Amino acid sequence: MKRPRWFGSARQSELDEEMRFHIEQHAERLMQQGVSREEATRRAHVEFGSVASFREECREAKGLRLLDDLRADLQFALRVLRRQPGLSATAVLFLAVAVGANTAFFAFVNAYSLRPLPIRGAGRHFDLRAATAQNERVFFFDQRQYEALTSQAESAGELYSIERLTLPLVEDRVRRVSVEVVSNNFFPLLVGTANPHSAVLSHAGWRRLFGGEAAVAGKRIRLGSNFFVIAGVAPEKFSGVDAVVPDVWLPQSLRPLAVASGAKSHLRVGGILHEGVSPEQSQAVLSAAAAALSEGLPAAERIASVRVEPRHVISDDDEANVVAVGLVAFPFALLLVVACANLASLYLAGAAARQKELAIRLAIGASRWRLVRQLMTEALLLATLGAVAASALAVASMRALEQYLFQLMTRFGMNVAPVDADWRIAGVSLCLAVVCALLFGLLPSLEATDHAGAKGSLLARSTRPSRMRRGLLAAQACASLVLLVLAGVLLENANRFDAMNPGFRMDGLYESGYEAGDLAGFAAKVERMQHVEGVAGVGRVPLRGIMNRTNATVDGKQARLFYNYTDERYLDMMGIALAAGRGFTPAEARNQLPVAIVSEATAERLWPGRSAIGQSLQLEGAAQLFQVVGVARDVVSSFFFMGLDPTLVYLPAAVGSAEIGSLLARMGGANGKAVAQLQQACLAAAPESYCEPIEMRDIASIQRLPVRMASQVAMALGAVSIVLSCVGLYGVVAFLVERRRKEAGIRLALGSSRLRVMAAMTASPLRGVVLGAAVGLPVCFAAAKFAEGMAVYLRLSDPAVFVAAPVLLLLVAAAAALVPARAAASVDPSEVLREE
Amino acid sequence: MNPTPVLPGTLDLLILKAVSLSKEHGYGILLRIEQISGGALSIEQGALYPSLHRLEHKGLLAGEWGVSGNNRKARFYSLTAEGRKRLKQETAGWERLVEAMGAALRATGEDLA
Repeated sequence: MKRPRWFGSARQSELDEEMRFHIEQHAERLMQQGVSREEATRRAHVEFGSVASFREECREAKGLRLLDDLRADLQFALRVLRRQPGLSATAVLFLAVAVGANTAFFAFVNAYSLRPLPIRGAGRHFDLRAATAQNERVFFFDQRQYEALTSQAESAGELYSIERLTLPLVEDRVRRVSVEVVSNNFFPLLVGTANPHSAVLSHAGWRRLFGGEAAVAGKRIRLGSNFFVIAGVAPEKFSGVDAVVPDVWLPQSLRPLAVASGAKSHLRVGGILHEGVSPEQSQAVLSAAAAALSEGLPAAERIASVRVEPRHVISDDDEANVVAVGLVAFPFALLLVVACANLASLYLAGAAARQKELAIRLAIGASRWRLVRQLMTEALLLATLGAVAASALAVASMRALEQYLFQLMTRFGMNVAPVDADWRIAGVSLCLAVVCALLFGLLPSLEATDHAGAKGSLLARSTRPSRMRRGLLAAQACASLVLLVLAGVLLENANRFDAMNPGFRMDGLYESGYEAGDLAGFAAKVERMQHVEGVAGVGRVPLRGIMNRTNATVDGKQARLFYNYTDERYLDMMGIALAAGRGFTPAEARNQLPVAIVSEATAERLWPGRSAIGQSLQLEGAAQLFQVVGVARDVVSSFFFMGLDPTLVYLPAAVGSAEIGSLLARMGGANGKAVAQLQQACLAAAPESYCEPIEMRDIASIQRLPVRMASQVAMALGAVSIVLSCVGLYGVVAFLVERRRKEAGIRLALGSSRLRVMAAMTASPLRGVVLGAAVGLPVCFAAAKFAEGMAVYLRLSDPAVFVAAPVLLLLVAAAAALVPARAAASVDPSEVLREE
Repeated sequence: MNPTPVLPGTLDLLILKAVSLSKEHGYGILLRIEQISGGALSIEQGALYPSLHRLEHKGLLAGEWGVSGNNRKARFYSLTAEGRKRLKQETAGWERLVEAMGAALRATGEDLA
């Protein structure tokens, strides 16, 4: 076999050569003195002394001894891994899956919460926010305020501003383009290039809008009603200062071409502190501008304080974010626990199988530390291989995960800051794998060497490994159970939300997307269009967040009620049936007469056991009493997770009034064409703003998708965890069966049934699983009850889940244990007893 | 006269001295020590090497591969500047020790009076 050229071996051969030269020279000299060749060679060797021990001494003199030991350990470890390819491959696979999943998760945390913003002076970046006297946060400033802030900030740092717009890119078809109008110093300050003077494409926007076409610079594009020249494409690594990357940056000087004249600006303001200026100092400086900012504003909007909020990464590092990341990290960490416990039991089995070898090595003088080091080296070698596989897995799956997690944003044409691999990814893989290695390598190796040493006998047996094995199985079972319960709970909620009927007809229902002036004129046009079955105006489109609420007085009692403005066509068009009374008349809507329609739940709550028709409502701020003219069926208008509206009051208003903000349309027949037609009409009516009809189903899925995705991720983790646990359990039982073949043979010879033999083989490991489930279940239930108090709308303690999860776990575990146990039941007693 | 084994700790000094005269390989150093001590000192041959490597590791000697007188590849050692300084120090130290030892061993009862 060719000797591998490990570090140090070249030097070793040099040393040997040096000493050989010496011996040969000496022999030659002796020969010159007349000694025969044979005798000379013999004497030269004798007089030189032991080559091996001097070689050792030389290496010790050079401090290479430790390195040699390490090399020997590594070589030995490699040999051991090669000798047990199945065990090694399983261990690497476990590590790759568990560490890989955690690494992939970390990649997202890294991209958004750890990696510095891709700008110059990221460590001194801050967001500027303000607050009113009522401590309501103000996120946006107008141009005049921005200028006041800028002149104030000069001594503390340099400010920039961003205004987000959505514009139509008009080519042969119209596409949505997200634009950031940025202050003229944006690029000089954050990138270090000159102010571009015309449109700059982001890398993502270039890919999305122009497919990464090479000759894009100098091209003219039409955004809204004006043309812009593309100055160039920003470097890929500059993705701006937020998670959402715009398609185009426009300098402030071009704003008048992009926005209807006189439109108020909504600027987000950030900045870079001067070197050596602390956020507190700059805050003190900027607070002095508060008074100037409030000039001419109504009292409620006056700015009381200006806040400098340092932000060096993409995400806000506020507490809610940290808690959210922690919550999501938890199931991933559990998967790691499962993998570690599994590896430890695999490793324990491996070490037990090598008991004889370890005992022999101890007997011939190896120190216990030396053996532990040997076993640890093996574990670390596995960890390194696992880390490499895990990094590869994480990097390979990152794109797919990104697409999966951000599918909604992509569907609505948003670019998300890229999640890239960097050195931290590999670092985290390695750290996690090494921690795993320490956990799974240390315990069993201490156990194994202690065991072999303490008994000092090659045949020693103790009950401790079996207790440790059971403990490890229990830990896996417990962690798997928690993951299964989590997946079950989320799945149950996701299914519940999917199955929940919103109470109105979803098919073909679209929000028009029109937000500019003359809604009435637009509505009239849409109504006449082909395939449009009906239109209706509404104050707030349902399922787009929590409905507005108002205080009301009914029969002298206070109530807080959800309300919405609708025109006379709304209920009919939405397919919301009336339980009693009538709908609004056109005249009521046009004149906003004081009549109301209430939902059934509202009627039941305000006038239990009585008819609501003819009752009256005093709404806060309204001069007259509103008379109830109808009772409508209940619907979901806020969030699916909140269920049917506890209260809902419909108030009349006509399209064209300030109360009616959106137009809904129901399309029949050939949907796609009709929608395109609707969009064209919308763009024609307001060319400077982008317009896209959104299907109500999409709005509903925006609500449902996060829970659905959470349940899918949890299910994936749960499935992986249970597969890992079962493979581990299978391995343990197979190992025990192999070790106890003789016992099985004796039992069978003495007349035990095969079933009893199988039971005996699987009893101890299965007890571990049951123990884990018994510990895990009440913990899960208590945690669920606790969390339910906080997440009001999620059902977390569904008894079905708490029955199904442990049953599933135990069934799968029993199957995984019984398959290898069959081997024990099928041993031939006469053959086994003759062995050895 | 039978050769005396070298005192423990003095081998390094002898090697430094031998190498200081000219560049030499291991076997040559051994012969030179025998030669300059008039055959009075003998060294266990193999023990030379751990010492050589220790001195090299400490930066007192520099080793390089070269060709020996009979055209064989051999490793030659020479004194570094550091080694030369150390040789001077150790030589002075050794002389003081010898003087002190000599004085001590020459002492008679009268010296104590």
